Amino acid sequence: MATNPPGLTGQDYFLQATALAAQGRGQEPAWLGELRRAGADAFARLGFPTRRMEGWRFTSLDPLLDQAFAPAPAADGERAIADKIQPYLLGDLPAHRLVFVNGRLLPALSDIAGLPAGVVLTSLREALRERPEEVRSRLGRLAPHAEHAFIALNLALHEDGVYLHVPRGRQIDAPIHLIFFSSGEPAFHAHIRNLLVLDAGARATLIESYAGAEDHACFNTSVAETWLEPDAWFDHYKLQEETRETIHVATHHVHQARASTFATHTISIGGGLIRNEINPVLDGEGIESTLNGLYILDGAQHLDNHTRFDHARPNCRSTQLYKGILDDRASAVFTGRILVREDAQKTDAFQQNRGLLLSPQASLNTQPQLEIFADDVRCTHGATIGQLDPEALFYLTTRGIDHQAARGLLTYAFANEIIEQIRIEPIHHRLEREIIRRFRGEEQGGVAA
Amino acid sequence: MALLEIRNLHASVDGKQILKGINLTVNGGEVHAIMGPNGSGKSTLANVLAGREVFNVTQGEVFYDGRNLLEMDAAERACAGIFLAFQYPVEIPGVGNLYFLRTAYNAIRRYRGEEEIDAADFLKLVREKAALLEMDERLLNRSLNEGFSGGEKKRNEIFQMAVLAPRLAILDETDSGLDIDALRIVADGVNSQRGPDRGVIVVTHYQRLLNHIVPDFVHVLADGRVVRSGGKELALELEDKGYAWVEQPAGV
Repeated sequence: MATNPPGLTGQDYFLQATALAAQGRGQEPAWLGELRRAGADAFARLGFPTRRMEGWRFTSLDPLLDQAFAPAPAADGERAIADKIQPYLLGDLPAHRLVFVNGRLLPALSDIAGLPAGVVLTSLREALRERPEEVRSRLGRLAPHAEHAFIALNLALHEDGVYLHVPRGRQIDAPIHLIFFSSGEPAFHAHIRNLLVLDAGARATLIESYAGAEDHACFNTSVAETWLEPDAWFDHYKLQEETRETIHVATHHVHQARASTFATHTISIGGGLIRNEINPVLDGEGIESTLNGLYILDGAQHLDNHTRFDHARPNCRSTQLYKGILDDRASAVFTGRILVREDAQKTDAFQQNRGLLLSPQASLNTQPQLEIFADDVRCTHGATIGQLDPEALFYLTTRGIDHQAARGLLTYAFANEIIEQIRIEPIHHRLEREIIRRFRGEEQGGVAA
Repeated sequence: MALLEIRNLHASVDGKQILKGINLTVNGGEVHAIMGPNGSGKSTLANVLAGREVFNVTQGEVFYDGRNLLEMDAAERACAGIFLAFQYPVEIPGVGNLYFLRTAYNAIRRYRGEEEIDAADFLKLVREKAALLEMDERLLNRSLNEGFSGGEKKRNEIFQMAVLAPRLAILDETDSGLDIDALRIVADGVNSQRGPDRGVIVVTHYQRLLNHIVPDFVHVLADGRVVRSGGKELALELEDKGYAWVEQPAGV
């Protein structure tokens, strides 16, 4: 870790930074300055959450409060970055790709040629210049900055992010791949703001990769607002492969209209202290919404997944399946809140969180929270925490597979329930490699079931 | 040199002594049947030989092909050619049957210093053995034993044995749960594995499997000891007279 320059730490630093941001930035529209000010005011009022607060009981923000951060440094040269991001390109997956370094778009490494006519995929800064009214009508409408310190912080400080608009009935065949890469010293912070809009009947697949180069400390926030209009279809992936010195706090707010389909797969491998919040609002009938999560943690990694489904209308189905593999002193939290409003009859909600603890020091806290105000609904939830089955391990070893490899195979099998729902083949390979690396200590080809 | 030599083997689980001095020698080319009433230690013996660690070997020695078997872990025993067909094969969701078997096959080849088999050659081998055991090929593409019937699981054990071609096969109550047709197919599978340098230990409660896999020797276990040994006719005698007959050995 880099030595920190003398200066303010934690809360004091960010109070100063947000106050500065509240003065607005010359080239930005006035309304955005007002939003930044609202974010700064809310952050000043809320401050960072503490473990005494509901929803933060199992996650300590000390690593964030105890060190000094600087604004994000400029990116390295393009060639250096090109090399560094190579491992995160998912084996040259054909994709519409945008690369952000330290929160800012790097156009030279981005390639969005061949998008269908009418589709807008650009940086948020660019969108603010080119189509400010479109952005204004959506930005900040879903993410509640007045009640969430990190959303407030992000609103005040965000540099850039993605603006996606898929017009009515358009389909983007190749996935959109967003790479958010962190690189540089000293310890810095960067804030990403994504605004994703799929009009009626539009279809898209989007992958967000978060990664970093050296083991430098950094603190990222990411706030995404996704609008899915009637019959829209959106398949979303988040791949977290940051360094162990990274603090990452993300919230994703999804507004789903009638008969829209949303699936997100949150895959957490890297990072030191991670908080992911996903909050879909099911605001129409016949909606499908799926939140899948897979985390593979070791060392002292801490991951806090927080989901909140808001069933506001009847006849919708929500599914959550989170599976975690924890080794060493790794810890994870799963809080899954399902709100079924009075009007949301015939809701079908399913929630499962399963943990595999490979070490006695690893821990997993799981908290289902159901608030049901409708009377004709089906809500099921469950949580299991266990170890590898010794019978299965013995069975595999009696066929000549050594203990380590047998552990790897069973661990992969545990994860496979999530992996097989991932439609992007290179992500399978990436996860196979990771599981093999961690549990076998060497690479020995694929582990396809 | 004997393929397997068990000398005065004692084993316990949770402090309870199960095996109380087993002596047994299996030479290449021989089939030995181990019979005995429930709780006599037959399955324990099979599992101790395969390397199950819940059993504590408290006394005695076991040599496999001249090597000290008790110093080898389960995977190494398998690589050296020992195979246990389980009484209750475990279901492992998410691990593909064929992928698992190729991983095992290649682990054994690496142990022997041989090159790994490629997917196409392996598929050919697997098809041949599956046909031999009249295995539904769809089972090969499923997760390991997941949702298999009792008979399908047992057949899958013998199928694995046929593919891995062990030098010493130990069948633990392989006949239980098999109907007569399946029993014949499984027995054919085992018989096809017999050879001059290979041995088979058939652990069974009943005589009927031994009509199909004809043993050279029959040993009767009671209370953790071999109380009687003989030829294949001993099994018939047991069937006739019941286990009470051997539980009070002659001269006691």
